[in-house]
Parts: sequence; structure tokens; C-alpha cells
Amino acid sequence: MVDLRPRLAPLLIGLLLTGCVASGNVQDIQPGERPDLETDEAGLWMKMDRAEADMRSSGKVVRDPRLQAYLEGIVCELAPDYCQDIRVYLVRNPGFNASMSPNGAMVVWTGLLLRCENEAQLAFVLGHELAHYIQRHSLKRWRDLRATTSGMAFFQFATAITGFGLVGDLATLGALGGVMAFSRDHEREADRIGLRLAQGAGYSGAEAAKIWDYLQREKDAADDGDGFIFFASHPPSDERRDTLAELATATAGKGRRGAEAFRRLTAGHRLAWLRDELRLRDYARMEVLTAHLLESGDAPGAVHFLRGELHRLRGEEGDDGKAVAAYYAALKTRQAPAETYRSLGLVLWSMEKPREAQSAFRHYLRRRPKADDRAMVEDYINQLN
Amino acid sequence: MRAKISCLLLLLVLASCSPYRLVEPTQQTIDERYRVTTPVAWTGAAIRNGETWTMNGPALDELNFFAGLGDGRSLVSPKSGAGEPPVFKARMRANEVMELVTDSLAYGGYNRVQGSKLRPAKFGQLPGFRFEFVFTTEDGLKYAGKAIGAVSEGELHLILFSAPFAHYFRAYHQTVEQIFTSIDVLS
Repeated sequence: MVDLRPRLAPLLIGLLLTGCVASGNVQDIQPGERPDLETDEAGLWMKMDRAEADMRSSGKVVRDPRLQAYLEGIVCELAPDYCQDIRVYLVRNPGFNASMSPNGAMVVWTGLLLRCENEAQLAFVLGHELAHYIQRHSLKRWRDLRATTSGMAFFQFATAITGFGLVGDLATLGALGGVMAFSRDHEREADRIGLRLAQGAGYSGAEAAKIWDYLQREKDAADDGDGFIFFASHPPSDERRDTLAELATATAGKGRRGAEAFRRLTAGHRLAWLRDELRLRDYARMEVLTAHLLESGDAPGAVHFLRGELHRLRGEEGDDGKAVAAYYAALKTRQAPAETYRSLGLVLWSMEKPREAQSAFRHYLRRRPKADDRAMVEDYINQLN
Repeated sequence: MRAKISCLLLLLVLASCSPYRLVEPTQQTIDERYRVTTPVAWTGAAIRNGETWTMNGPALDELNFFAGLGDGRSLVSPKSGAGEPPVFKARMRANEVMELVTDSLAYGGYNRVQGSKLRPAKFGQLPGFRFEFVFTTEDGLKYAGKAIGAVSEGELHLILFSAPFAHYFRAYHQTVEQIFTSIDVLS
């Protein structure tokens, strides 16, 4: 992700020196509105515009026109009046996160899409981010923090709230726990508005609580004990789940889930996004994620395969057997990637089962006759003779 | 942004405060484990389990040598807030070493990392493998790389070259090829 800290520093220092402005009278932003050039908000927008220009050429932005149009379509359904004011950037990053900059740049991580079961869950999260924009939450926090924090704390926090500088800065955010209560009020408000927007667009409100319930389970399982960065400034997931479930009660059972279109448009990416998650080597979290995806019936061949991969990579006692079982489960679906056979062969070789390993490698080459590692795999087969 | 394009092992170099030195265009010994002959001079520095060489600076071209990397050791240093880096395991086969390299690059913050063209090759006298890889930096600059390695008695010997694809990779890959073919493993 683009790290804005160096670029924001002059602006932030300048804003700190301009004195305090109370946030109490900040109004909702209107469709098409841009801040007056004389205001601190205009300076914030200017910096965000520059950061967004960098973002457009970033190697992390996913270039899939159909998926891009789909995400933008959901945003426009949720808030038709603001459709022209919001730009959506889907960023190739594992983990659950989305963020909204005050200038209308919305960043959505691929790890978020991976964890949503359907369009209704995604729409709720996008609605939540839209609420931050409409309510001008960043500006409100910006102004209140200037009055309540030291310069450095404000600098760090302001970097975080812009939405671009979030990666790997949990420690900083943790140190700013004292100012989180204010942010959490905004998050609660964004939850309420996001749910309203999603339900207004015809989505099932019950799905909002489900995604938070799942995220809490994954957070509890994480190897590092940390939650997603999304939670660093958000109310606890169980609180959000309960509140959202209560709010959605009135319309329980109504609304669409939109699972089919969501799965169709994300299906081609799921294996790559799962690999991104695996690269984090947070095996306990990965176990919960793959179990969740299997429960939702999503791409079982790919998910079983990645479950096998996590056991192969972890390589602790008992993992070889679990990896083999997962690979066979993947192959049983008849939707497993050809690489399943290759990985199966590698594990069986390590388990000193040369005949079975050879067989797996041969299956791999039959499934992928033009594999660009063909010569290597043939060499494996020869070594196993 | 250029400062952020430090390649795979610059962190290791800085962490160990190793001074750069002139690498003469002669035979060079890597960590007393293998020798290579370079036809041109480089600037080099010692790193954990090997050396790193460059012509124009690590952001523009980088040749990294690992010698005898043991079980549980990583190619890159841990990054704050990013968990533990991928580690080498003694039982790894060639596909898994390629995966170790690509995952280490991804761990280092590079994007669209992909390994390809894995094939058997001699690492000096040892049966080994070769492969190629690509990745992009955060601001979209495309890099290309090539590797040669071998796992011998549970230890990894590996040489990695990477450079921006547009010029530096093409400018030096033949030189790197000559170095790859000159490997002489010390017994």
C-alpha cells in the first residue's frame, strides 16, 4: 500500500499550526460537493488526490474490468446520489480491510472479498465505508484530534485515518487506544448507516451480522492474537454482530443475498487470493478461513487444495497426513487445480512413499502436459525409480 | 519511492552493517562453500550465509549468493508487524525452494510475484535446478529474476539475480549466465 506519511507530514504540521476548529458543526457532505479552497478540508483533499494518483499506478491494484464495474455498481446502488463522487480501488492484499478517504477514494482489499459469502455482506461493508464519507468522519476526527492529542500522535493517527497508510501499523494504532473511543462512535454510526443503505438497496440485513460473527472467529484463532487492522479502530466484532442482528430484526428474512453474481465474478481470483493469505503463514487463521469457505460451499476444490498446502508448509508433526487427506478431498471434487497432484507427490515423497509419489507426479503431468516445470517433475519421477 | 525499492537482501546487508567492497573480475569464494568466476567487477558485501553483489546499486541490479543455508533459516529478515518470514526446510524439493523465493519476495512487500520455468540444472557438481521469477514494486515497476540452486545434505545453495526488466535485467543476464556456469562446489 502507498505509505503517505512522508507526503502528509508538511500538510499535517501546517494544519496543526493553524489552530483548532471544532468538529461539532460539520455537516454531511452533499452529492458533488468539494470543500472550499480556503478550508483545512481542501488541503486534506488535495493531499488525498495526490496519493490517489499514485494509487492508480500501483502494482497492487487489481485490473479486472468486470469485477471493477461490479464493485462500482454496488456502490452506486447503495448511494445513487454519490455515485459520481466515489472511486473504488480493489487492492491485492490478504486480510480483511476496507477504507474510505475523505476525497471519495474507497480502498477494498481482496482479502475482504475472499471472506464475504455473498453480495449482501459486501454491500454492507461498502455501505459502512460510504457512511464515513457522507458523514465526513475523517474531517471530524481530524479536527477533534488536533484539539486532544500531541503533534506526533495526531500525525500517526491522521496517517491511519486516510486509509492508505494502514498496512502493518497496528502498533501505532494500539498506542493510540486513548483516542479510539471517539472513532468507535463513528464506526457504530457507520454500521447503522451502512445497514440502512444495504437494506435500502434491497439486500438482506441479516447478512451484516454474519460477516462480523465470522470475523470474530477468525480473529480469535489468529496465531499472533491480533485482529485485522480493520478492528483496530472499530468496536469489537461481537458487539457489532449483536447490534447489527438487532437492527436487522425488523426486516429478518427479507432482502436478497446476491450469492450467485458475487461468486461468479470472484471465482477466477479465489485461488490466487487464497495463496496470498497462505503467504502470511498464519496457519491457525488459515484453518479457520478455509473451514469457513468450505462451509459456504465456495470453490471446494481450490479450498481443500489450499488446506493441504497449509499443512505441507507448516510441516509439523501430523501435518503430512493432514495434507494428503486435504489433497485427496480436493481431487474428489474434480475441481482441484492440477498442482494438487504435484503437491501430493511432494508430500508422499517426504513420507517415503515413492510409488505413490511417482503416481501423483504422473497424474500432474497428464493433467498439465505443457507444465513449465515438466522437466523438473520428470526428474523427480526418475529420482524415485 | 526509489528508497522503497531496495531488493531482497538489502535489509540483511544493512542489519549486519557490512561494508561494501570491490569484487574483482576473478574467481571468488562464497562462504568457503563454492566458488564462482565473474567476468566483470561488482560491488559486494557479506550477508548472513553468503554475499550480495551489485553493479549500479541494489535497486537496479542485485546478485545474491546463499551458501549452506540450514533448516529453519530464512532468506530475508523479519519485518515488523508482518509475522515470521518463510524459512528453508531441509526436506524441500526444487518446487518448494522456488516457492520459498517467491514467498520471501511477497513477504518483502513485492507484488505479482511469480516463479516459472523450473527445470533441472547442475549447480557446479551438484544436481540442482534453475528457475525464473518476476515481481513488481509497489509503484508498478516490473522486475525479472533468475535463480540457480541445489539442496545438498539438507542445506541450500542458491544464487538469485534480479533487476528491473526494462533495462538492467537484459543488460546483465548474460554476465549472470557466465557466473552460473562457473560454479565450483568445494568439498
